[in-house]
Amino acid sequence: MMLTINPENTRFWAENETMRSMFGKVMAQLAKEDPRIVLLVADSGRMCKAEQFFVPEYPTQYVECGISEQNMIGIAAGLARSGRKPVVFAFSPFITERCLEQIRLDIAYAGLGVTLVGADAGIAQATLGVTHYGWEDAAVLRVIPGMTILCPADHAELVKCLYAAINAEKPTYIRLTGGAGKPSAIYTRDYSFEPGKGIELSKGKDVQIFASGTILDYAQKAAELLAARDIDAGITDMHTLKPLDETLIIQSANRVSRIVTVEELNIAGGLGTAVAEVLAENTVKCRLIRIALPDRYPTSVSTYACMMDQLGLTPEKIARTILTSFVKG
Amino acid sequence: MEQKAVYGVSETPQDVIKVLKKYALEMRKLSTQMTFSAGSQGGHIGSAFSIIDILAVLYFHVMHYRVEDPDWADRDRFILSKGHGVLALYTALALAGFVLQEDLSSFEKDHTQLAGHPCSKGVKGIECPSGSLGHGLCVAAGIALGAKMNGRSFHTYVIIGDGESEEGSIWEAALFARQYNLDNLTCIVDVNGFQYGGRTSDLIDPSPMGAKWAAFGWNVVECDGHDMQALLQALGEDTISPKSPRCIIANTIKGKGVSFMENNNSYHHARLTPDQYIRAMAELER
Repeated sequence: MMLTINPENTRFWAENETMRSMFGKVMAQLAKEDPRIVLLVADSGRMCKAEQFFVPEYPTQYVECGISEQNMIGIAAGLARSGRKPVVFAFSPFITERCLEQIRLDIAYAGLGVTLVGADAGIAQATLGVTHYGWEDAAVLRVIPGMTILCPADHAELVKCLYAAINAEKPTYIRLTGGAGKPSAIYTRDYSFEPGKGIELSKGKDVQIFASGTILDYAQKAAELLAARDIDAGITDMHTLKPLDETLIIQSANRVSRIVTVEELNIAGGLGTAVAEVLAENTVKCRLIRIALPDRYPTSVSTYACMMDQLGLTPEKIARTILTSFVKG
Repeated sequence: MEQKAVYGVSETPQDVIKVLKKYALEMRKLSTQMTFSAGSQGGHIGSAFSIIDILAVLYFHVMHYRVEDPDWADRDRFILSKGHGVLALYTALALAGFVLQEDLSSFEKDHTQLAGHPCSKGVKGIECPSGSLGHGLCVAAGIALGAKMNGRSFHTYVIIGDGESEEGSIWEAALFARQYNLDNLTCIVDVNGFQYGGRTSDLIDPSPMGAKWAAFGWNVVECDGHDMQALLQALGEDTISPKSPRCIIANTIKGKGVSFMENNNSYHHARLTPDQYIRAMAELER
């Protein structure tokens, strides 16, 4: 089975697929399994290889909307009202902020089962410029009642997210980080995935890092660096930004001295903010360290690796930020 | 039983028109009562009066629906994209039987389902929330495309305002509907010449409206939006052209039906004094 999560497939995906191309392939499989599924694009079919994998096989389940995201959301709403399961794909700022009010009214308030998928969230577009960054995409959607927001850590989790979103038939945003690169495999065997339930990959004694998206790989590497400095940091895959797994956060907060959030999203409104809200309303003694994009736009742009370094989002810098909090006490 | 033409025994055109006029008059009277009853909240009475004749023709002659089964899969769909004209919709739904007439007095009162813009939840017969302008045609196009995909033969009708046509998303949907040959979609443009801030021609002039829609590849029919005969012709099956979405440019008068409201933009959204209410009702009763 093409989408089975096993060592062979996940190795192949990590070597060959971006999150975008993986999305196109998963959609082809989904369309085959359920004829109600419709893929809508805004001149964005080529970048997820839908034109290669999806259109030739399932042309009647493909709707090219042209460069008109606001209309595309309305079309998706209309199709959902016609018993279809629309999946709507474009670059992350365009599928969220460009058509925000359409999402709010036509999808969320209406309570329709529409899945939005934003490509190249975070700073994946790097030197192409801030116009194409998903700097605050998910933070903006987080304040819309009834939205589910998912951010997969790797290809395998993208498969899980898409199946979950389509079956839930609720307004859902799936945020694809990892950009033009090929994310490492976090999951190599099938596992249990449920929106709203974080996955504790390891249990830290000192620190628990809650990571969202493909940056989870960096968080794991940071934990290894911290281990060398005698700091025991565990990792939680916080694939769901909303609804937030509050129970898991509180459990961790009662065990460790530092909760750390790591994400490729604006520090204002993202996972760090969501976790802070939970900690502030509960009696816990641990500190919170939020590692994210700053709440100011960059004044220059660079390649992805350079920008991630500049913004403190490499494994080394994530580890250093956490370590510093211990040095300072 | 599906509902079509609830106008009684005889269906000769003159009788049809007579009955439709009766419905329209009743809708205007109920709208006036609702606006007055809303007190300081007021109502978009002028914006409703320009489209009441259109809704009367749609709900009581053209559209197929089942009051006892509002979600009937083959019902014709209606979306009031210019949602502020909701008095026209609520009164049509009440006369059709979706909404209880006694519930109309709850309009804009505490805990009401009948908000100043259609909010679909809890009100039978309302397809989707609308009133944030520029949304309805996009959703309608999606529904029309869904009908094609599903092999359903129902028709989708949407009313937009001429002021609303300033929204870019209208034209995104116009391009889309043409591309997908949505001949099962009709967009009625209520050209009353006004928007909230004044005359559309003084704000952002959308004219010539018909030429714009024709240029976007739509099958354009222009008519007097208060002439029942003209509306019946415009909305009839004869003006449907295969593979083209249909646009009906309805030339209307804002506030139509009450002399002091006609073309008077202070009645775009208004509170009615007892004197205004009495005068309006007296004119309508006449």
